[in-house]
Amino acid sequence: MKVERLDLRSEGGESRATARIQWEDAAREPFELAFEARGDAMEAMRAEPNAMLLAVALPAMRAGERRIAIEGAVCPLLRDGLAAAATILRDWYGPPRLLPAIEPSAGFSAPSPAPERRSAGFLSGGMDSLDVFLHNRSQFPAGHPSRLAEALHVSGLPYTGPAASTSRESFVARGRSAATAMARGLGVALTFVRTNLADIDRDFLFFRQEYFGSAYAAIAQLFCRRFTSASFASAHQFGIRLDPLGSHPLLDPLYSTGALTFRHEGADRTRLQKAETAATRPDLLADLHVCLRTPFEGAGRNCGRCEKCLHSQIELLLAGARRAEAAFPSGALDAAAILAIPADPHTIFYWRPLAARLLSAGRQDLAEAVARKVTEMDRVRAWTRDLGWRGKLRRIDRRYLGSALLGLRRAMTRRTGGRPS
Amino acid sequence: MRISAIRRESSAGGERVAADVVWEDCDRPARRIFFEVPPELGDGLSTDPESFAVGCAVPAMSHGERRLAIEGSLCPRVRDGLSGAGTLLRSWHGETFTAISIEPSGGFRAKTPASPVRPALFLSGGVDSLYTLASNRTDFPLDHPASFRDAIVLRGFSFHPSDTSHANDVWRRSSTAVRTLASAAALSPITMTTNLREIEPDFGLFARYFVLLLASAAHALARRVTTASIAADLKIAALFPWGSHPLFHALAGSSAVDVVESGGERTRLEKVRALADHADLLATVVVCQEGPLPGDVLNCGRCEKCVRTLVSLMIAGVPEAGRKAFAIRSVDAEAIDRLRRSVTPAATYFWAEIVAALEASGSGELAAAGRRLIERSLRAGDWHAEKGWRGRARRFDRRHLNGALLRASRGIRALPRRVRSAFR
Repeated sequence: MKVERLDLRSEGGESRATARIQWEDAAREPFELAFEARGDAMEAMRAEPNAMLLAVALPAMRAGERRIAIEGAVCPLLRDGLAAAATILRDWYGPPRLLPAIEPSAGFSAPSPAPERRSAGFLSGGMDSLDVFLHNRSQFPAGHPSRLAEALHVSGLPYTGPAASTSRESFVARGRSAATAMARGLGVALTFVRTNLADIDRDFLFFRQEYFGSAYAAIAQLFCRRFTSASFASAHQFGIRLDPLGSHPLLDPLYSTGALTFRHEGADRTRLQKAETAATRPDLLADLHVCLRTPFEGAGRNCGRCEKCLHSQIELLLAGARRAEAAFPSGALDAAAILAIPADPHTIFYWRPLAARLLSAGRQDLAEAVARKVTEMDRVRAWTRDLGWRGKLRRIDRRYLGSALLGLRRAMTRRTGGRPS
Repeated sequence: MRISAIRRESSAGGERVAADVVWEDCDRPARRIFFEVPPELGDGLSTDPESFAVGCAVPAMSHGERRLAIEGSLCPRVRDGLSGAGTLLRSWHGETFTAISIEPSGGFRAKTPASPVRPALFLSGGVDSLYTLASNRTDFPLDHPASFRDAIVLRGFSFHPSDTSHANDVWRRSSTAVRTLASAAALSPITMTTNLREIEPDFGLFARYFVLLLASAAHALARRVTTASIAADLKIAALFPWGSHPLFHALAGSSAVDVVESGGERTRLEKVRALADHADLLATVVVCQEGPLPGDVLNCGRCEKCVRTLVSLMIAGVPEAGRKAFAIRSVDAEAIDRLRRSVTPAATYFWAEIVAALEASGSGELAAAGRRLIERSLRAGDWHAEKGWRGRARRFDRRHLNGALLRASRGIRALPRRVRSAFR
């Protein structure tokens, strides 16, 4: 892969950093990677080689590129960090996952940090990022170098459809309006960054499982002339959830450079604790944007019926959050909606603590639905992980019978019109 | 646990910050804990409570203390970090680590970092920290804010508090090596002594959280140091619950002092290979934890760590003259086979890549000896995990015979020594 023609232009109240990506080993068309910034920090944005490298390194690795020849100098700390990240990903998901050789035209040298220590945070409009800001404000007074003095809001991540499509524009508009309102409420300067970075690899599973930490770190590194640290909200919880994910407390710090530290924040707090923190600011709750469904019918920022909307509503309900219902369609939260969501075992850690708490809060209807959903998720998890006697049988089938039993079952299912016989 | 009277004081050895530590919910002796530096470095010491909180919290959790009441105002990032560390420890080791309430008398208040930024590294003189130093010097010009300014060498860190002659000798060698290194690498050496291990002398527990002890020493220097780098001892992907797990590092920092892990992208052998061209650094390498050693000998050359490092140096193509830090500079299969007592379960991790490299280079005899050592290490692992019939026997002995079999076994093994001493 070649990353060249790094360029920065400012016009029409917007800065645009671009780079041309040429694939060398993968049969793919050249791609112009673009980041457009608007807002307080836009003038500090640069077409930083470290940012461009972070943006392309893992997609290049996935596509089997053997090298990344990049214009400019690369920070040696980032070179080592990416090597370590690749090692972790290989350990999690298996080989090959070999990081391409990094070949910067100006060699390896550390960028100088901004003269004053200054911290920023990513503000998506969701509960995790709101918690990062609120928690930070409770810890650090104005003027402290660790105080999140500015916010970055990113449009274009994850991939939500082709440019200008309804699905993408709906998602972008909802996120932007949420972040704008929250930043105003928090009294924090906001910069919008729009990028086509997700187009480099549109596979959502790859984005979620391996890539999104480095994608956001890439955006942070564009602003290393202004910020010395950028915080990204964690989706993990120590002791509850530390499974492999594209943003992880092990991975994210590795995307730092000599100029900017990328911080993974909030894994020490549970979702319920985050909801409790959010509940302290009822003025911001109506602006929440947690929903990943796009597009959806109806007004508002959240569909109210998807898995993420539902557990967020329950968490806010349990936290006694006033005005939280304004963020969701009226009457969206009920037992039927919970029972209707697909049982995704990856999200079980959100749901597991809720049933008991709902019962204590006198919401037996919701508690029963959540308990049933958790049981279902456990069953799916046992299936996908080959646990129990069914798992044993599946392993035997795979190893010794060439998956004949599976084939037989599928054939029977087809014959009975999709219903298991 | 109550930590009070945090003060700065002078001692015969230099300047200290000290505090009185009292247990509240368990019957353990009160201690006066200190961090001591030479007099000329006293201005770097901080009397803020972060160092004592970070150093004492895990022992408090492990002995069922309900709270950590501490004098002064504590950085909220430390509160969150210790809470996260406790959660991690519980998820790894079970409820032996209780959740504690952290109660600073002055509440929670962010601390202002020292200015200008001043990064330090913990420099023991071993391969990991030498590699971190070499990388930093290669990667950053001396005037870059990320370039190391200080080298902290910590006394009283890894040994049992009562093991003084042994520990003193390792300290003598380590501190001498670090002073030499620091002078060559334009670093200011900070020799720091602490008795923090007296709070929790149990090595088994220490091994589960020791990075926090290093971090506590960095916090004691918060008026001088803004970032403390700790060299990774394992490659970042080879992770298991362990006291230097990289997740601990981010949890060990404060708003004044960041704690970071360095070098996790490489294995130990890769680090030795990277150091092969740094003859100046290798001349002072101190890996050996045996002692006391005679005269100016830095490494015995016989113990498992020495032998492993020597073999790595041989694989990396370092000539015998470059291995002068070792009393014995060459290793043969017999030297590896002689390693019995000191082979631990961890040896499997380190020797696996060495054996692979020896096989690739056609060093068949050494590779075979390495494989035999790995087998012994795996057996040691089984022993620790109480696997097989031996494990069952040990558990039965403990539960039903009150350890009688173990005592008998030890007595029989000690017989030759007793017989020898009787005839002496």
